[in-house]
Amino acid sequence: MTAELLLQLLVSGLGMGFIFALIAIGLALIYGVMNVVNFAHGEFLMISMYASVFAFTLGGLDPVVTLPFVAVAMFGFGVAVYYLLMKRVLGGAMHSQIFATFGLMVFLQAAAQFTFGADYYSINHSWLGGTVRIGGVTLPMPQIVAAVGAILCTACLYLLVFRTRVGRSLRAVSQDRVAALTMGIDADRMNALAWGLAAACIGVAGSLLSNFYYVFPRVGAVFVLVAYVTVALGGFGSIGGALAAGVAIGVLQVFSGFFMTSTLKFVPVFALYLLIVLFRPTGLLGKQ
Amino acid sequence: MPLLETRSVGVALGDVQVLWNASITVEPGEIVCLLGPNGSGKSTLMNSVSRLNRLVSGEIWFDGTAVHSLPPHKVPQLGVSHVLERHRLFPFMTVYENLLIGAGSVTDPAILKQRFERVYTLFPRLKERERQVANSMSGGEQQMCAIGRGLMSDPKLLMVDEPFIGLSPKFREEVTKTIQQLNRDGIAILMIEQNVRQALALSHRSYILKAGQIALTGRSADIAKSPQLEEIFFARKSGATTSVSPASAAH
Ligand SMILES: Nc1ncnc2c1ncn2[C@@H]1O[C@H](COP(=O)(O)OP(=O)(O)O)[C@@H](O)[C@H]1O
Ligand SMILES: [Mg+2]
Repeated sequence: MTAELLLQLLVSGLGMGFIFALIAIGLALIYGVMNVVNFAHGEFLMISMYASVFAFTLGGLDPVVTLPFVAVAMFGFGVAVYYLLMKRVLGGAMHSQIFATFGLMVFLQAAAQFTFGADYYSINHSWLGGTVRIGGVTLPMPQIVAAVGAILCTACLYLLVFRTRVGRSLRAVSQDRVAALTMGIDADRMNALAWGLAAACIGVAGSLLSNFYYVFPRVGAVFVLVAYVTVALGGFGSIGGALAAGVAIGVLQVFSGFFMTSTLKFVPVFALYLLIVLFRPTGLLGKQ
Repeated sequence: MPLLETRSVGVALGDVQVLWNASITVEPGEIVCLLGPNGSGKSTLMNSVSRLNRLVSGEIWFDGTAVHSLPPHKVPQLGVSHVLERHRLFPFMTVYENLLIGAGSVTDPAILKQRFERVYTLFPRLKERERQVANSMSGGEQQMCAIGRGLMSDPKLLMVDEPFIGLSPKFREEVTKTIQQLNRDGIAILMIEQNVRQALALSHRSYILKAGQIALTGRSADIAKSPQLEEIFFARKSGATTSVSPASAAH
């Protein structure tokens, strides 16, 4: 086992980790602001991936180009889901909110199955072909772009949430909704913003993934299960926690995939999760 | 014209009505207290002014505006500031950020600076703790920060729900002086307090609630001498609203 190989695993693990983080941050954002778990989160990813893949196969546009459009469209989709669905069940019982996002998940999956069938679609001959050698480490170009894109997007989101006025309002609602209302913050708009941002992050993640991962109606389940673990591990509602946990899980699964067999690569991830929640039920960073 | 007026306000929490027919006024420059046993509806009445609960009847007017038809986040813009029970700071934000959020839509750096200076002059301790995360401070400091946050919007009316709860005598005195100081500066105060004698000494007028209704109202000095006072806090039978002196006898 050479140092190069180690480095290669590490880098590709980090790349995957930032994508996990991006998916998980959206979940954490919605949970933090509204105390709702979005069970349709994986289906948001599925929609973004279909959008990127079909933009490529039908329009010849690479995901690198369509990414901003997918992100903006997904933002709109997230906001629409909030106003058309979630807002209506907000006043209701806890289980009506769970059923609403669960129902949305079933609906979106079935709609994809109905429209596109169960076939796997993927992007062949993307604009980002080939590999890159950096200091003895060889990495496929799409993964490099995905890692860099995910890092940039995470950084932007972080700046938005922690360094801007609207981000402060978002955090205020997540930390104390009633107090935020008495400070003149429109909590309803912040809910919509959380859904929009979460969906936009998923849009970015889906675009980046579509370059090296195939899409099918149930693709969301593959990633979102890891995202739930990421969010729980990082502490429900904590954006920083989701980021840290996402990156850690990305690295862990690449290494375990290498040293064990790749079908078992998530076993250590879930084992780690069980271990941590056993000792820290609120996750690593708790709600913040 | 009163600054704040609630007219026959009834409130339901969930499906249960907990407040009936509550009419109160706060005139400019007044300190008005809401008193009453635990669970008598004091917070519910104050929260109704901030539109945090559901009105089943009545109207709420502030400075000529119909508050009862506004969503909650529009109320602060009128000049109403509400320091909630148990201070309710944003626990993971710094003192500075909490205060900044209190300033609401103000972005002009000159005005912001002025508002911060005013709060830091009232509570110098907050300036020392500016970069500290709110939930790492003592209860008294958090209460000060909450009052400071309430002042950042430069309100005409400051509503404070049990500011003394859990405070040491030293902090109680400091907060009392601050409230009197703010009142001298021209801010009307509506406050809730458990300690009846202290509240009556501090305020101009009071409303005493019992089981969701206003049972007694008048000048605090008169209420302090009223024989009904003991009755309300300790007796079982409830009666109609009584007035120990005309409620309109305010300044
Ligand atoms: N969320 C709620 N749902 C139903 N009833 C409530 C709720 N919160 C408080 N109450 C009831 O409303 C009444 C008034 O409460 P509150 O206004 O908080 O009293 P106070 O501030 O005078 O102690 C109490 O009887 C209390 O039990
Ligand atoms: Mg109360």
